[in-house]
Amino acid sequence: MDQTTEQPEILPPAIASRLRRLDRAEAILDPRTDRAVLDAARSYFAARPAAAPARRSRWALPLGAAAAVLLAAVLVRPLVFHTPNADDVDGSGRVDVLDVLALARMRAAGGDASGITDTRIDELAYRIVALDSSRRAP
Amino acid sequence: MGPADRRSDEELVAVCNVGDAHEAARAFEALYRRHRDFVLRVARRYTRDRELALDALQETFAYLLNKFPPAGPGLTLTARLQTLLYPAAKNAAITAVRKARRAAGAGDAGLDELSAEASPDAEPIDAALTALSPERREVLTLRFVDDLSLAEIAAALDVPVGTVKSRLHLALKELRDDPRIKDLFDP
Repeated sequence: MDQTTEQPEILPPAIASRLRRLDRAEAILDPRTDRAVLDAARSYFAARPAAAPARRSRWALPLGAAAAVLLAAVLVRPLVFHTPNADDVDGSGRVDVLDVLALARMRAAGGDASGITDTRIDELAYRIVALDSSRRAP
Repeated sequence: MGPADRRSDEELVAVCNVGDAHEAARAFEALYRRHRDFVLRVARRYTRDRELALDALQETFAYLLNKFPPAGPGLTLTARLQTLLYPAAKNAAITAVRKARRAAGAGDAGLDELSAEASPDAEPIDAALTALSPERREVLTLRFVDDLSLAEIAAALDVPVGTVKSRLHLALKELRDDPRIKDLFDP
């Protein structure tokens, strides 16, 4: 016998109706039982730990790294490096930590389609830090 | 009581799994109100007693509640919720009857069978239905009263679909062959 297909079974309406009536002979709803079940549910779920924090965006790490670099650069100074090249993401004529932020934002907005990788953001951030160190060297 | 919750069982179960305390309690209430009558019907089939059926109702939803965190691992619905609730309600009802019988000093015979209360002068349809074996009547009721599919009945009873088909076929054949109601099957 085929185990997956269902053949239509026919029960005469009079029998089906009687079967239903036998099964629903009496309404036995009870508000006290409703209250007991729902109170138990509220108590049960109240014991649940606080809701988990919202999931972190996949861009949180690069943006956080960029922010950290910005903070470090502000503390260390100087911020500006007059090295016009392709890393001048925001077109300001300077390559600085703002370019890192701009790059991270572009990636966040465009995702993988932006063609910008985490590696590129990291490289630019570290390059700026390296540039900063080289300027401070005697 | 407000309007019925329009979310599906799957959505409500998901909220019970991961929602905060308030959301989860509301979702559970929606599940309870949606399936209470079904559970009560099942409980009554096996208890034929109002108080015992209400006890079984509470037990069944306590069982469902404990499927969710923090006590439970969470629930994933792979079939309609009735297929989970049916065996839980049936077992809760049988347990309630067993406790009541033991308290009264009676035995456990026939506990897992659908109650049958046909009197000698019962109508022919009632007499034919109560003459069915409990297993065949159970499948007939799940199919034509609870509107479960054959696959859902199989899941609820934890038996192969072929067994469900066989029981249903034999139940219908038995009714069709019963001289008291044979005419009902003829057009």
